[in-house]
Amino acid sequence: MPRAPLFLTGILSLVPALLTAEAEAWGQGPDQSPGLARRFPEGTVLYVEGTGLSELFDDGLGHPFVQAFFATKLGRTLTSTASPEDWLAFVNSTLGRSALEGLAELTANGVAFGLAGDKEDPQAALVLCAESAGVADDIREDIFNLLEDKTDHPGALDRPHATLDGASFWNIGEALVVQRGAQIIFGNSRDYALAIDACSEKSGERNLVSREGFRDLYGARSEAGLLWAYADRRAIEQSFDTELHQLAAGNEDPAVHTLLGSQLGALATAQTVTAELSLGANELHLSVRGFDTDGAATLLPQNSAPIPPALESEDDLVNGLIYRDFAAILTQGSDLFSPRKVPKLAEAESQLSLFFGGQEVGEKVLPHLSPWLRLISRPLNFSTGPKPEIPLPGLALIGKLEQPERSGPQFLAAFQSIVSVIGVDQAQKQGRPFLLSVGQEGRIPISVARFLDPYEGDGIDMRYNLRPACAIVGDALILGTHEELVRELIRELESLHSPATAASESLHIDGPALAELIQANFEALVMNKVLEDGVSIEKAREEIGGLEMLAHSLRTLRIDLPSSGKDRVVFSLRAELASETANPEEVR
Amino acid sequence: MLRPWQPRPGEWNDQAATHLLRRAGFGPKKGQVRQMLELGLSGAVETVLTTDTHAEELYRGIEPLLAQGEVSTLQAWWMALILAGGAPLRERTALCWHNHFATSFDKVDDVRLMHRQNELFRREGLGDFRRLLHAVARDTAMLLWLDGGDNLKSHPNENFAREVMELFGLGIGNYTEGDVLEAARGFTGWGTRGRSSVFREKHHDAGMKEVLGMKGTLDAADVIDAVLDHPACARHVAHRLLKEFVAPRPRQEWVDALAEELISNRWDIGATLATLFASTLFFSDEVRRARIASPVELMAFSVRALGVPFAPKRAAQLCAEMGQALFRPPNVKGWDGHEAWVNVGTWIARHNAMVEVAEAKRSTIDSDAPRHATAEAMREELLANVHTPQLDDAVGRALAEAADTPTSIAVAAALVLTSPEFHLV
Amino acid sequence: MVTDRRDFLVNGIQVACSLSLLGLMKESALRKGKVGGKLPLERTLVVVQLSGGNDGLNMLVPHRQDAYYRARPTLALGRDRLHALGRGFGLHPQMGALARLFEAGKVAAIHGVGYPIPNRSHFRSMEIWHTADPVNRVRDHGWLGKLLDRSCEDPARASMGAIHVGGREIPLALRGETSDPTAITDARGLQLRELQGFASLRNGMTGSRTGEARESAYLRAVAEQSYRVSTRFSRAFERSEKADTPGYGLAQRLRLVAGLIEAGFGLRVLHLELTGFDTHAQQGRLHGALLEELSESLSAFQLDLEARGIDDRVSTLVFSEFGRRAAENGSRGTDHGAAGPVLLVGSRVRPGLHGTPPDLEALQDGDVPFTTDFRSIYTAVEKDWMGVQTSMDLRPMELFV
Repeated sequence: MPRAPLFLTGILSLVPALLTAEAEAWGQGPDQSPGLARRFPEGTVLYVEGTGLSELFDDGLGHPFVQAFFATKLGRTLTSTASPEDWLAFVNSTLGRSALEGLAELTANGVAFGLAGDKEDPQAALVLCAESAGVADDIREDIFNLLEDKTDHPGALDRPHATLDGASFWNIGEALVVQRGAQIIFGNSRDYALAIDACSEKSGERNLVSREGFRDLYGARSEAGLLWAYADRRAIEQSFDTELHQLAAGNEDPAVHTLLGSQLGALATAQTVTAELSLGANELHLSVRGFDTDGAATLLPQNSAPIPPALESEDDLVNGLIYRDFAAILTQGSDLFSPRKVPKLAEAESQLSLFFGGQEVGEKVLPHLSPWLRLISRPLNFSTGPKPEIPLPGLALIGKLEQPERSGPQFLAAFQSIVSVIGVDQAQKQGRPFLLSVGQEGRIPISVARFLDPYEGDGIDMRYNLRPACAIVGDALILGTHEELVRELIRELESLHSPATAASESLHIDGPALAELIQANFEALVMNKVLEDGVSIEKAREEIGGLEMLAHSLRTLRIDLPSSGKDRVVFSLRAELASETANPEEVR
Repeated sequence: MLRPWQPRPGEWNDQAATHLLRRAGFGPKKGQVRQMLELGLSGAVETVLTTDTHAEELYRGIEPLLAQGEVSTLQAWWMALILAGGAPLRERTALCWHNHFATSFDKVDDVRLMHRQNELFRREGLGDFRRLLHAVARDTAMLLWLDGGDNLKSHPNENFAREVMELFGLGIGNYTEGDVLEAARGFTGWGTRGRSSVFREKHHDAGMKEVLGMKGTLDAADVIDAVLDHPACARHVAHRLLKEFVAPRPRQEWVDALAEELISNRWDIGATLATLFASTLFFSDEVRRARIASPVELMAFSVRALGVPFAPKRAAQLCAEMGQALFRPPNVKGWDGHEAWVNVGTWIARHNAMVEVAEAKRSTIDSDAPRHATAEAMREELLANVHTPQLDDAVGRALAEAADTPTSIAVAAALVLTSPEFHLV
Repeated sequence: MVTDRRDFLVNGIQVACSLSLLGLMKESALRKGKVGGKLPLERTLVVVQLSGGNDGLNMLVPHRQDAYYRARPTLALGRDRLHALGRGFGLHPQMGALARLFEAGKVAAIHGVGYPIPNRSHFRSMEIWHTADPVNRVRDHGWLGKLLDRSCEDPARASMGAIHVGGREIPLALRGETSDPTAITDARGLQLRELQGFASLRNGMTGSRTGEARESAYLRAVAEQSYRVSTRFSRAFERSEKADTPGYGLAQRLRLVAGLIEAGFGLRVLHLELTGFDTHAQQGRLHGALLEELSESLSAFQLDLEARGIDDRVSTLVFSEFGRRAAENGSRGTDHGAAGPVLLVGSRVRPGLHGTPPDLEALQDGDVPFTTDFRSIYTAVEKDWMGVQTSMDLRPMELFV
């Protein structure tokens, strides 16, 4: 916003474009504390409430999450030169008061941010409800003094520029500050700030709560949350002409549906979006909900389809369950996707058909594969072949087949066809031959493709990360980038006893495993950064090191998309910190 | 003309120093011209010849990335070495050989091999040319490029032999078709195995041959020796050196003189260049600003002169857009250079690249330093070699108009960088 | 003046050369309407190459021939779904836009185009079409390149050039001995990056410099020319910015082409490619999507040219390296064939169906035999459209008015 005061942009940076809220308290009774939404005019299209901010400021360094954070590797490194208390003391001495205490008092009765208007005239405001009018006065004066110093206008804000009906007004350029008792409004636009004041003062005004659909969403927010946000995505897209429409266009792109999934594609087209951020004892939880999306019902998860068994191991880097209805994507593509993308999709289908012996893949072959797929990635030891200089983790998909006696061999045959085609291609380019072999893992046949080992001294290129393999275990189809992983999974499936459980998309990422991956490729990552961004080697090392530390500081990252259909798409992200002094009981 | 230049008072000025630094390296860094002036001509030449150390970490940093197989990474790495300026003459010479022994990744399709060839040019480029030529004839990338990979007794590969004579060693007209055929026989038996070059006795034609007057059961090394012994070879090499470091269309007297110098230095390229850089020819008026800068030179000059950080990958990409993709010369003749670098399309690419560099300047201007001083200092650096009344005037106006905003400095930089004067080396 | 956030195609540009040095020094490239011959204004040829082997029988369908339906039990298109063109032929159902152009008299379709001894290799057959030489293996020059070489001999003509839009590599057809084609990926290849205040200061620096060295003068001339070219191009290109160009890749590139032609700096030949026609399996959906892209894009292009008032000087030639076999294969696709139809689109083409229609009862080896030699179309383009002497011996077809 060109006219927003500097600290407003600071607050703004806390609010990602899409935040949804989902608290454990879904289903808690309607309408918690009244909240500040009533004080915002109906035209507000983005609203962020700091429900739990005051408490957080109050707890300060004593808050369990904050403590857990400083106990992580990242936290420790940040405070290696000075403890958090020292930093805080430094800040306090600069400000001349206790920062956290001040913030807690300032937001004791709520803090909220609102956005209205349009691209030409963006209207934003921050509303703070302090503990008392006295506190509000105090802190406001401090802020004004700071501003006066910075802009070299001493005394300009000592007296209100106007008072009316019990409220005081200050003009700062085009911005307006309004104080009424314990409530302070900082707005970049006079009209908006005044509208908020009007809504606050007079009841019976039409306000944000009377906006269509807002009330129920607002009522469902959790008391335990830190931040809660609401966005009328459609309205924002129309008024502010942002890149949101490009994001929404992803829903018409088959590539987005294949890689990210139809739920995420649909989420980007939601009419309204809510988000909630909450902090647990050592975890951060962000949940985003999109309502009334343009999602295609046929592509969204159906619980009725069979689910492949769950396989988990300590070594997992990534483990998840995803829903990809490839059959529907191909057969309904021309209706669902933008005409620009259809030729590419048709080409992909034609190509796939070739591998499947000329059959219509979308209608005859893929329907036998359940859209629910397990996704597993694990680091490899490369015990069965040359270890590449840049080792990458293996990746495998496990699917569930219908009529596996018939469909199984079809998929295996397709795998073999693809390998032969690649082999021919390599031969034409005089590359290393790509050979196909069939072996056994226990009693299960496994088809493996591999590059011929390199000559000695020739180096081991990245291609040796690829040793794709395919196998059928009962009614499960395994396809992986490396034989080693596929063999492991075969063994695990053979000895498996527990069936699959929940049918909803989810993904776990293991922090330490990610950190190890970064460590294993550290120098390569550093050099890539140097060449790509033009920074010095030292700086690149710092950045990659920081990344590694961040990964190390996360025990797990978990993404969940509990399926509910196109009317309500939920995206939930949980980050659990890996703090050394973490509470043994897990907060999930 | 290869006599050492004795500058009269005032002749060893910033234009002369810039000329030396632009030709024998990749242009002056900020403040370097002044240094050179203080050192005097011989001190400057000495410095140019001895600035020869790359930052170890940067130099070796490519090794873990070779496994990736991306040529853009290799391009970025070479650009990074050039921009860092640890060994300007060595890199400049390596670039010269890369053009002379033009080999393209497009056919070789192997980053490790291209890197290995590049290292060859770097290590041997300032040494004995004979060693270099022998090594190039065995370089795996070169064998793959010229189809020397399968050179059998039954089917000798003429392509390889022809290019060795026509492009690398002698030049057109200095050999006969018979020489080519006989030389091809000499090269038989050489091939590749994975990434190595191997010699297979059983495929080698061990019979009697005659190449360029040399008779015997010649093998590959003998053929190369025959080429080197031919008087046209030294002239061919001299011609290449003159084209790269002196002027696009060297005169015959220059070629002959430098060829003589090369022979008397026993084919030592470094020593020959040392003589050349200190010579009257090198500093003559005819030679100054006589070459149109290649894209790599242009990027290097501008980034170094302005002292801006610039992503090597982006720099390499811009060079490709301007027509010089490192490691991917258009064909075995390499880049023709000079006027071939510039036409409507590539001028737009040059303009855009130079504006991008100027924009990078804008974002690095120290907001606290007194603006006026920054502008003046920059004007000095940039205009060192490109004085013309109109340019001075326009630059002056640019700086005056928007007074001290970073934008006007960027505009001033852009004016200089996109002026034809700047593109003449 | 870089068009922001406009991303038509793959990023990046690769440029070779667009105008010869001779032309530059004469500065004739930018003189509008400078002609030495009978033709009123520069005429331009746009070539759209369908790569992979377009199945002509399903594009221009012989719906009265039973043999068609017998040969293609699953792929044949029902008569009632086609866009009737008369004389027993109809266009594929997804080519409605082209059918409308046809009705407006802007399309000529030539049946059974090929050459003796059909070659079924993509590479070799395309080479033949590019070099107009079915016998010798010419690897250096193409027919369009040679056409431009010949045109440049006439000094009265403005200097000419060719551009390939959509990739970095110059297609063989455009390579000539003296003419220099350019390849650009998108509009950014010709647009200048600017800084505030830069342009005005730069313009203030023009003016001849006496005693200037040759190299310097050369650079200055090229620089000034580039700025002019870029300005003209940007104006012409931005003009249809608001227009409703369909989202297809081909349509976007053709819009760029229209801008290039309008900018009027002497372009004679523009070349584009649409890939994906090698439909060996499950042809139905894929071929339909491609033909729809082709049809919508050509139609939008023609309308764009008419809106800019330059449709009189542009003709578009659409060809493929071979057609496909009459009978479908076991994978619901078709295999490489021999002859196929060629399309010519424009305001000055002689509309309708030309040549001998294919007879599926009289196939040769399962293929439609050629009845029109492609070189007679090339000759017509050279002589009657471009106004250049032809080097080929065949009689030109009457394809232009």
